[in-house]
Amino acid sequence: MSDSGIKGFHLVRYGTPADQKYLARPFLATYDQLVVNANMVAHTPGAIASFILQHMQSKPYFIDPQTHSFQHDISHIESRSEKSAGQIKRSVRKMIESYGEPIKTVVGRNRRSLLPSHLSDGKVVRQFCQRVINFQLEAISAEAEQDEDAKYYRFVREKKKLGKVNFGPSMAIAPYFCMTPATFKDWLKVNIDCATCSLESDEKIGIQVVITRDLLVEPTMCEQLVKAYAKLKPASFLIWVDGFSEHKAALHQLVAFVDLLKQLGDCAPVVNLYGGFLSVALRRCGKVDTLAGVAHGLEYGESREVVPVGGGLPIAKFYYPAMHKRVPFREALRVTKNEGGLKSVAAFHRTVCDCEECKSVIRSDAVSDFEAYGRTHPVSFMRRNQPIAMEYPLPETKDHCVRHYMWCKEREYDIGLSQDKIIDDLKWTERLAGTLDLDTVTYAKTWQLVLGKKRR
Amino acid sequence: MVRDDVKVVCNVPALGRCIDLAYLRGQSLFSVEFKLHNWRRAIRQARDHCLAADYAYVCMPRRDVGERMLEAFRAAGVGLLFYCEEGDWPFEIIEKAPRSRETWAVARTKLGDYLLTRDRSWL
Repeated sequence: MSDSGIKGFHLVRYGTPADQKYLARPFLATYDQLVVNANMVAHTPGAIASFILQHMQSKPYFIDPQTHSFQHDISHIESRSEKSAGQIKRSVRKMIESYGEPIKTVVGRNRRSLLPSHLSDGKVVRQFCQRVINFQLEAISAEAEQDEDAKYYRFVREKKKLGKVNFGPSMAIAPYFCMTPATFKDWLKVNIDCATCSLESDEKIGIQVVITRDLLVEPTMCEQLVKAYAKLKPASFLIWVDGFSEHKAALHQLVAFVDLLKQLGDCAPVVNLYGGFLSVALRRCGKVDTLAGVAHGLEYGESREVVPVGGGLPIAKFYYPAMHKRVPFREALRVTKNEGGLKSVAAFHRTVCDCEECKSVIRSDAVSDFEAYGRTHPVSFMRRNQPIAMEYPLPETKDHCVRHYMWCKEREYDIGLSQDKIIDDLKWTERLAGTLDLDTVTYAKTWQLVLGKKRR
Repeated sequence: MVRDDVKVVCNVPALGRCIDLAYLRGQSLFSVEFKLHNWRRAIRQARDHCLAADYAYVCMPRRDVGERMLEAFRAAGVGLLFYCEEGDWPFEIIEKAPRSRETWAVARTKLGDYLLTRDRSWL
């Protein structure tokens, strides 16, 4: 496992600086590795280096270079703030400076999207790959070396004979671009060229494979994709299917996803970069033994669109442990009531959840204490000339929900659920169709089919 | 609806939904979801109101109502109203809503307070 650059099964994504308080103690020991996006690193390398050094006890990490962000419409990397509207975001400008040509000219100067033809020259590709890899190797580690705490950290490590201090990532990722059925041939060639050049370096290299959902269900293209990537010998494959929600995906999409994981897994350990409980269960149930890791963000990162989409109105969501899903608070409330979880504090802890957060929140009266996960404040505004009033979660509501989510994830990943428990949970969820609605729980049936525990 | 024995507010937030109209009559809390056509969607929304209100209704313009439609309302525990332009009360009860068995005390109190403090605030 250590050669793959993946240091454990449970990976968590550092999304924004606000995530820091959930990544350090008490959650530090609940996951194995951190994934940091390049734009965050470019934006505040010193702050991230300090955070990793001072609060993360040198938790292994790697950086997602996000090279795909230069292939989309330029508006996605432009600032929308009043002061700098229309300019390329500061963090992206820093990435452009670090990655150099051809991005510097095409995107930075000419303000055009990167095309496969811009990466057709072997020399340009080689130099580009080297710069992208160097950025990952040096951005945080160089800052960490300069951090005033570094010398003390080094002293302690050496005294305890824990070996040489290494502030660098556990691996570097080759530049990559998203492939759709329409652009498959062109970007596949570029991706393979970038991967091949990157693998020429002495560093441990992971290959990120990013495809859209419609490509996933194109068997011929997937076959070509696997054939092309199988020739490479990376430390690991990191898979990202655009906007692929395990809860919303149809059976044929999930089956295709499992096939892709298995086929790439035959060549190198695979990681699902945006996954939920199904991915964890695939490994637990022995369906994809080569799945070396599953990454998620803080609540929102179990699926992600390649091109950012609007966030919509934030609503309080509670991760219902037995459903293995975040549901709107009102749905969690309905299920909890029906299951008798509001009868007493003990009943709540027995039937819903007894994680650290739930033990601290639900402690005197289950009926009123449960509100901590759904407390909101009303906001009025106009929509299509109509007055609308909505409820927004309070900061403390989000805080409770994230903490509860992180404890639930620890149980799913690290403590491990038996196959029987997984299937029991899914069968129980299936029966909630009467309490919630079929659309909300239909994934439970689909997942059983995918896990091979139910017949069609 | 402007009557002394009724407290009423439009666009009331409740558990992540926006209730089109809520009113307090006597000791009972009522929610009303207005829809022109899509009664199935209205039922889904009104069902969520059952967590905060004592009685949840959907209000539609006068129309044909089949047994299948009424059965869907009954199954969801939601009542159906027709909008009436005449008279001092704007609703005609087509299917009486049963008292909600899902009402959550915390949300009900919040809704009641909202009605008491913002009665007729749209006027």
